[in-house]
Amino acid sequence: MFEMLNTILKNLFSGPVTRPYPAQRREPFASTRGQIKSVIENCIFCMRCQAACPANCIVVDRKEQTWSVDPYRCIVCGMCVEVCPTEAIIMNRHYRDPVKHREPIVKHQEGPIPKINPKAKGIN
Amino acid sequence: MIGKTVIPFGPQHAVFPEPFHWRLVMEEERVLDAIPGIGYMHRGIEQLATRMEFAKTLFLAERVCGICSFMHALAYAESLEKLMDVEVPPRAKYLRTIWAELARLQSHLLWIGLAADAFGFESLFMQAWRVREYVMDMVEFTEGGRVMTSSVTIGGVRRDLHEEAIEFLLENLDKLEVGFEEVYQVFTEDPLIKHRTVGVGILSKEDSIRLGAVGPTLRGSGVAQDMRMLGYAAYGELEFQPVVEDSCDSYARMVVRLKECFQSINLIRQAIKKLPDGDVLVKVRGKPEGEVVTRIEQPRGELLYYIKANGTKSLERFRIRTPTLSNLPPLMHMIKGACLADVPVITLSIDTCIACTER
Ligand code: SF4
Ligand code: SF4
Repeated sequence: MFEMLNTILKNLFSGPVTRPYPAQRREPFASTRGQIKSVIENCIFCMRCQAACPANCIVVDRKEQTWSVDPYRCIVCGMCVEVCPTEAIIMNRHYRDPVKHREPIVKHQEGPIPKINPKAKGIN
Repeated sequence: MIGKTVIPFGPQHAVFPEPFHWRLVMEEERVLDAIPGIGYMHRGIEQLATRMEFAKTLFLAERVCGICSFMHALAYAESLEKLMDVEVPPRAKYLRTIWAELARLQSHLLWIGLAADAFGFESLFMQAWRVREYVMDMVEFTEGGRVMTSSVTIGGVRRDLHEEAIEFLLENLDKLEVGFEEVYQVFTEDPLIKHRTVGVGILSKEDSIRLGAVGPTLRGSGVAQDMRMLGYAAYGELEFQPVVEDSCDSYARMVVRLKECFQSINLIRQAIKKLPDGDVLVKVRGKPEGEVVTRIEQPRGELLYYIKANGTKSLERFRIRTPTLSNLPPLMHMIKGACLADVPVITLSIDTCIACTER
């Protein structure tokens, strides 16, 4: 009986543990893998990301200077981010927004391919 | 005298989160025979693995199951490390242990919630999942994903725990322990839950061994078998004993899982205390060759990986035996003679995971 009284009192004086959702959103942690973003200016079209992707969703075209990803096939494993020598792909902590049409994201690079020496940048 | 009736039970049923089908041969209220029907979720993962590169198969193995994804990745990585003679750095072993225990915690808490839901105890279901959210936060904070964590790789782990993450873990473990204590009390003291589970679905010690039960189903029948005692990852250096209950019924299996939650919290604390410094990843070169069998304690029991490789970039044979498959014959045995109303509770008591059974 007293136990029940305890529970009732506790529930009366403590607020809800859930969030009032649309008004207050949960922020993902800084380390969350939400989606990948391309920084196409850095890309040297080495195709390493295409080779490493387990879902085969990246297509790199050196001639056309395009880099594309099918975000609906991407499993957000982060392998491409890990292997990219020039930080041309970065991980974003926010999840992808819903869309109406399923289309790949295509990025086109203007001008000559940058000459970034992967080793000099000291990445990986 | 009424004749026999066959009642189809599932594949869509309110208590099962997954498609699992029983054909129950009934005589009045009693089940005479139970014939399981599985295969609604077959995805051909084993076949696909023989066509993928072995390093990418890790992500495929992780997707065998949504609840114990980490365990599958761990089993796969451990198998290939054995094949390729890779020595994992000690820090990576401890991190694997911490994450494996987090995976066990979230799986057990998920089951506890589902069990409460099956008893019709909605508020307890909410409470169990509220507590589970602490675990999910820990998983997301330290591994980057809530379900598909992708944190293990062949040769180590892909993420390291920094100071802040360790503090976050310890803080959340304390909150989790306090919250879980309340849920534990309700489960062990509530007369209604006892009424639904005590003496229901008896599996004697001899039967459990004869029929090949694994995991909490086996430990609930008084057999102290736990694959973690084999000492994979860092389990060999931590102190724990398998949780065993002797009453052989659904209640015993439930209590085993509840107590294992405390055990997991304890193991994570131990592992954090002993966490060595150093690297978390070694470079792996070459291609695997040979055969290997790995056994890992999943939340539901023993997980067995058989891998045969022939020195090419993909595996020759990839075979997974999941704990639910081993627990099906004991389950068929338990259901015979039960009341129709007890079938959901008994089926839940082995914690079925159909997605990974059918792969
Ligand atoms: S995150 Fe993984 S699946 Fe997605 S594009 Fe990169 S490598 Fe491919
Ligand atoms: S790995 Fe990086 S630099 Fe190379 S093609 Fe992919 S995005 Fe471009």
